[in-house]
Amino acid sequence: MTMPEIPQNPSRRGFLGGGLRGAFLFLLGAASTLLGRNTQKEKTVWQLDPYKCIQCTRCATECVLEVSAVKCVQAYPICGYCKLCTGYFDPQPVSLNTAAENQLCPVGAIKRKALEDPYYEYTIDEPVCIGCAKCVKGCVLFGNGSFFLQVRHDRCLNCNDCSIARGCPAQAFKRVPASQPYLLKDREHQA
Amino acid sequence: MPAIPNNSPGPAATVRPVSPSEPNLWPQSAQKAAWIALAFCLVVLALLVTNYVQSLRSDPLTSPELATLKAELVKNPLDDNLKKSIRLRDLEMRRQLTRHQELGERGGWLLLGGMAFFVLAIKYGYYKKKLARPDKRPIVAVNQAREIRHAMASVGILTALAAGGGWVVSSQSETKIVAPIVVAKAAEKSATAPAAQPEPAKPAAVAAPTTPYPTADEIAKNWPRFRGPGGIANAAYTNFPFTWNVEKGENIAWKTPITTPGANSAVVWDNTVFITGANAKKREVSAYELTSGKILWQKTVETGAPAGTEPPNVMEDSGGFAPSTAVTDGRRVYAIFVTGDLAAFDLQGNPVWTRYLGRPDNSYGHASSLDFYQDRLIVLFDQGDGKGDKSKLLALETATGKTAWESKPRPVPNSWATPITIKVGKRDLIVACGNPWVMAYDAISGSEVWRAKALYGEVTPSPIYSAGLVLAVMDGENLSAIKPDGEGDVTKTQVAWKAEEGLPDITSPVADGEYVYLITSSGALTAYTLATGKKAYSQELELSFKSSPSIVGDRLLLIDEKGVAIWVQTGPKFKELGRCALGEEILASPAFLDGRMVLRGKSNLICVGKN
Repeated sequence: MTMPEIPQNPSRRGFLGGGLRGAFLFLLGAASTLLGRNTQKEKTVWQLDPYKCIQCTRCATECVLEVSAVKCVQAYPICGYCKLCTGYFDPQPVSLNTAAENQLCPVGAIKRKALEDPYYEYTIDEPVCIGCAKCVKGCVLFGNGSFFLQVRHDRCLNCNDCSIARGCPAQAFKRVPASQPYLLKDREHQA
Repeated sequence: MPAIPNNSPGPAATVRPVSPSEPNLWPQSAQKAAWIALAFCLVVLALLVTNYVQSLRSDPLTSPELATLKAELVKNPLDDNLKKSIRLRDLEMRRQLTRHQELGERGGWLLLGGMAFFVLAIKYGYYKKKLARPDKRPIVAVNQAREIRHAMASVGILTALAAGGGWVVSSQSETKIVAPIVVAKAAEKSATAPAAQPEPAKPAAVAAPTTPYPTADEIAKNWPRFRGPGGIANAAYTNFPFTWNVEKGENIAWKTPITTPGANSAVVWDNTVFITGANAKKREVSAYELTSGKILWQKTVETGAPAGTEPPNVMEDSGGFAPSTAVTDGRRVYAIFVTGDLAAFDLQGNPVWTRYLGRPDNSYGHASSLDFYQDRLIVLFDQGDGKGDKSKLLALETATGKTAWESKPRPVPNSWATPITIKVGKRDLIVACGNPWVMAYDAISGSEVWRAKALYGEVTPSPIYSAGLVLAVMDGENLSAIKPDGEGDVTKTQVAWKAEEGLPDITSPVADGEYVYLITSSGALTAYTLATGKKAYSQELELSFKSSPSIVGDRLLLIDEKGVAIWVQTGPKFKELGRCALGEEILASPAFLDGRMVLRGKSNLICVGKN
């Protein structure tokens, strides 16, 4: 029977060396964590740049959703509140009322409300809008350009394989930070 | 089956023996249910595909039919039939589109539910671990019956689910799209209207009233003033037709040409309808028989203006030379004209008195209508620019035309609203509007009781009194609801609420006790809750209005300038009930009688009622 070997106290050199190795590993881990955090990309979503959009109507048909996730929106500070709104009325309206033959929107998604003669307010009924951009085209051509298209993120699937982006002839679709998911028109840019 | 003896000392416990002849039948039922679910899914899938294919054909974005119709309309912009076709096709396509979308969405959920059921059933029915059953015996008839019951229950549940889903789809597929406003085509002038002046009818013998002024009951049964009893345009009768056809004469009791122009409204007492008319040279008061429309009498009012008096300022748009509505107390009929001439006739057309109030200093012509309180005729005579103490409120003795009292000069310029008489506690007040004051006067003495600064500009809408609130409105300021029991300047103390959307500049408000409705000249209809002033809704009608709105039962009646009558459901939400054309320009407000509605058009006096 042999006696168990009594462990010897660590030497001073060994203790310092072990401490340094531990500190090095700790710093390496911390540095890796910080580096990883800084290099992590922010989540992005698809959006349509209104200044690149050429109103080709494909947003209405290319989206995988049956009613497109792209909707027309109204920039009220830019709107001229025109009585003869070229985004609302057909290019050759018979009369300036809400009868179907005078409306440009194929689904009647723009609501017209008289404010004070001759000013009218135009509002988009988004659930009805199909994103065809006919109104956008009319408004951009002859009006202030206050109507424009945007991907509505309450409808968009964010599938990262946007079929509209693939079909967009103007390359107007791009990834934007999820924290700032809309690309809005503003008066300064319009001016 | 042998009974199991109970040998335990405690309470008797029954033990159900496990019978080898009662196998678990749910797996077999699940197998059948799985196949039924699969069939259900296939049916839904087929319907979804069909729906999708059909939806492609009803895509309004690419509809060649609609594009062709619109192109034709450009070539023929006056083709009303083409417009009608476009509107119908547009509405139909949008309905179809919405229906397809809803069907697709609900079909997707049904398919998902069916698939989930199928997977669960197939898992339970087929893919269950089978244990060895050494004592497996053939299934006896009783178990077959149980299996059949289970299968039938499963089929029943599935059928009920499918039927329920189908009902949901069909019940919600009704479109919610509102048809675009179809501006009613003004009807052609009725060919049945007599071209020549009809022979005067003999007035029916009516017992002469013995009291100097009518009771409240008598007033309520008639339409004695502008906007009826109290000036609130609430019809006491709803027993007349709400639809009519002027061209065919359906539900048009009569239609009589008007000889002298005017924008005033008809007033009615018993069987006599009164209107006034005037041009630059003459002024007339006319009486028609309510039952037949025949002229009873027509009397000229000579002017009391001294020779060389400058003619009054008149704008045809503001009603011409006879914009003020006459008033009748069942004893006499009283009329006022833009010249400042006031006249009273008895109901047989005999002149009683005339009075000249002086040439009104009014920008567009004096247009405030008359009112009466007991045996006094109330005349609001606002003039000038608010300086020089020209404006006043007068009470004349109805029998003689003499002044009973005259208010202190009103601090307002010329106005065009009509005063109303209201009862507050035991006191009767006359409420008159001008810029900027709504003022209440004691009806007995003419002394001012209270005033509220609530108006602006050229005040034309008349005030109304409803649910204990005086409602005064003018475009550019507010709709103000004033509690009428104050004294002095009540601007800061008695104004219950104010609203500033949809304010009219010509038409007067109307209230049904719960909501107050405003219609602007450009066709914006706005409703406010009377108690709180909270907006209930706002609806753009895209029509022009000068005739003030009325309440008929639970309906709101709006009549646009082209003569299109629009019936709207009263209440917190806008709901149009229908439209009917009167066939000519209408500026006046209607009068409602027992079984009849009388309207003054530009050319005819029209009575809606059973022929």
